Amino acid sequence: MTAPVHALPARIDADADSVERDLFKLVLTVIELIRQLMERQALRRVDEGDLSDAQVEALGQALLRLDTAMAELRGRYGLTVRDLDIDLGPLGSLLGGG
Amino acid sequence: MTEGRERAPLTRPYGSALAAPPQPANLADILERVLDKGIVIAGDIRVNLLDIELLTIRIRLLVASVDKAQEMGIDWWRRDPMLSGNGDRNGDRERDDADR
Amino acid sequence: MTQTGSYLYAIAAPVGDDVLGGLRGVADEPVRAVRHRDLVAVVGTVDIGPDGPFGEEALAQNLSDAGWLAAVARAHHAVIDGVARAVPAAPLRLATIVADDDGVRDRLERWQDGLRRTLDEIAGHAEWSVKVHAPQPADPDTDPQPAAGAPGAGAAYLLRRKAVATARDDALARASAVAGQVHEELARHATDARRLAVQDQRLTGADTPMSLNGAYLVPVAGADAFVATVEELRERYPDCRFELAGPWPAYSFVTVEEP
Repeated sequence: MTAPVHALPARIDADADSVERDLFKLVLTVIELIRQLMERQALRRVDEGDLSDAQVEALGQALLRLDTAMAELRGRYGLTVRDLDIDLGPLGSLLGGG
Repeated sequence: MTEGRERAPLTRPYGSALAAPPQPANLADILERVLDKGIVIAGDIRVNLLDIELLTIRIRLLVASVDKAQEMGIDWWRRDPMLSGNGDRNGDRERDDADR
Repeated sequence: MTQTGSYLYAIAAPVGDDVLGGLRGVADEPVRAVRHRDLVAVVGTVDIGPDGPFGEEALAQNLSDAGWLAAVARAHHAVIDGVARAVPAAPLRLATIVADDDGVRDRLERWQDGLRRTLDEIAGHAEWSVKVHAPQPADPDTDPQPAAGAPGAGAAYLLRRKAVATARDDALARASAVAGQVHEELARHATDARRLAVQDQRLTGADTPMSLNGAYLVPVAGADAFVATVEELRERYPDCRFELAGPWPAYSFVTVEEP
């Protein structure tokens, strides 16, 4: 009983555009994860009330710029935040649906 | 409506008293019931560079569920002594597992 | 070389050829009843040879193919549904295959007592599915937002993000509470009830997460009342989206798990 000969793996997508998009998406996912963590941390710090108004403003400005930049980058490939999420099975989703 | 639990109920199907025609169930509902509860088939991030799969999260998720299904039956005939031809008809499964 | 196996769909009370004659299996094969004592197994013959779709290697590959899996799952379900509409039936998991009909009869002998009892329990019952989706979070602020660099834009951004996070948390907390109440209420109208894992949002395509994926074993005679209860709950919690589906074979209550 010989196994069927597979010249190539069954799942191949050598389309250059698709490769680029997938890689881009992966990078954006990682950045989005970090952005969300930073934002959560920032909100917590603000809640704790140990930041000056100037510090709050500066933090907000930085996060707002990052958010705007992310939206621009996602727009290049027509991706939404939800597209960037990764399902981790029993662990839930990477970005927590946020 | 739970009368006659003794022997007779085996003649009572679920469909007979329902006027409604069967509705096509959606695929997610079917899969979670026939394959594994809580199956996830989305989770679609996959990067393929020629024949190197950098990231195959989608595939991994499917296989996670398939493994579960294999435990439950897909793998079953491989362990079946009648089919694998190593063992008598009533061989117990512990031994079959050891055979593999 | 062709090698065939008996693919099991369901264990059921004896069922007539008039029912089985109209059914086609996962390989578009006719299905038949293998009888042993007072139970039958509904089976089809499939190719499990190296070149067949249910051969060991091919099956592993095919199961990773979403299109193939979908078609086979639907076919599997269609047979079980057809049988369960005629007689009480306990479904088997997808791709449960034994060597031949003798193997099928071995299983029937082994399962006989337990299955006879569970089939009695589900006789005259069907499974219904009720899902509840979380409400849309309140949209706290749709005013145009100052661009980065504008004075006060930073603090305003943080405030807005905070409001969004709070609204989302509130919606999820509400959904979780509603899910508990709905399940409890429906369970009272059911012979048996189970909470399945909620389905992934991308799988459902819904805007908000699912908070309840309930399965209910409902007497046929109580089906109308059950559906009416779902409608009442729908009205009681208008911000949550309800999905009702059924009747189905009692998958979540009698599926044969053990090979």
